Amino acid sequence: MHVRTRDGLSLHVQAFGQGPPVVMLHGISGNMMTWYWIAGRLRQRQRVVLFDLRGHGLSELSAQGYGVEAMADDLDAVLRELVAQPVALVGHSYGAMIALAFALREPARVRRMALVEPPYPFAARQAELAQLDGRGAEAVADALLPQPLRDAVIAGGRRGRRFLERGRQLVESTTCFEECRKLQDFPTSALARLAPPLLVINGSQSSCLAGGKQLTSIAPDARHVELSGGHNLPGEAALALSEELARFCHA
Amino acid sequence: MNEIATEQVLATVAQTIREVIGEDWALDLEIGLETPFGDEIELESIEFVALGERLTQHYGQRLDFPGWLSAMDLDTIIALRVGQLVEHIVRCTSELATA
Repeated sequence: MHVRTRDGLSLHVQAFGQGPPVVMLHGISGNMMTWYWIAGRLRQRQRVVLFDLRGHGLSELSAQGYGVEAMADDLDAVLRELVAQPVALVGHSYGAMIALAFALREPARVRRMALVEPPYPFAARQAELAQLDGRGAEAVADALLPQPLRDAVIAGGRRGRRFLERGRQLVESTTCFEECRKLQDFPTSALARLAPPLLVINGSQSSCLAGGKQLTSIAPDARHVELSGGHNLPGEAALALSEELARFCHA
Repeated sequence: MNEIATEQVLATVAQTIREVIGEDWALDLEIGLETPFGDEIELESIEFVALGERLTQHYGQRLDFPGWLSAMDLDTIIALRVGQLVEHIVRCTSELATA
């Protein structure tokens, strides 16, 4: 299934299950497989919609449009096509920030929202990335990639090779990373008025943990959960995460 | 398992895997029931999703690919062999035939 964005790009989408709708967003360098297994666990009580962000998975690559507001426009296109009522949003990493951007803009269309490892605040993550400048691809991979992908890249097999090709394409043919590096944090005053109930989930070993707790303390109707793991919770803590999300989406 | 059905499904699954990979080396790739998805085929995660979509187009929604996948634990998925997918498809398609 495909949905057209406002600027005419084709997004790869899957939808299955029955019940109140939930849309799940992956992060940079990911794809819908990030959430696929968990989505399978939610599908008996939720209508789950998954899509590949532009430039990722089987969605079309575009030269630009990777900033959080532009990506929220893409989410809007998916919702207009497939979801007729207020939706639950679940986002991992950058996907969480896209969901947050959308919810700040259109709170009436968001029933509730779960942010899994949101890279909040952007300023802290941008500082981390800046430290990797000039240290070479291996250092970047080591810092950013989840273990299975890191192993695949090091092993040098097809999966690792394809992942590097995609990464290279994203870096060389798009403004994705430039746009991410220029991202401004949402004003605290806006976050303090965030209407939909919020669940923030962090891995206890993640560098995003402090930011996640901070975000929880600012938003008016928010709860924080800590799971054992790092940044890649959908991979590292899939079962525990699926149980938290099932409870939250069904509330 | 019904042997003829298994052979037919394996042929379809193997061909679909080659199409999803879409690279020349895959045309000569031998894919059997014991072939692991991991070591030799090395599908990217999104290619596995694409495989599920193509097979669902072929066999219908009864395949319930997401349901099948999520019923397994992640260690099982990492060690998945083509034969397990074939077995699932044979089961889905024969259930409908006898319904």
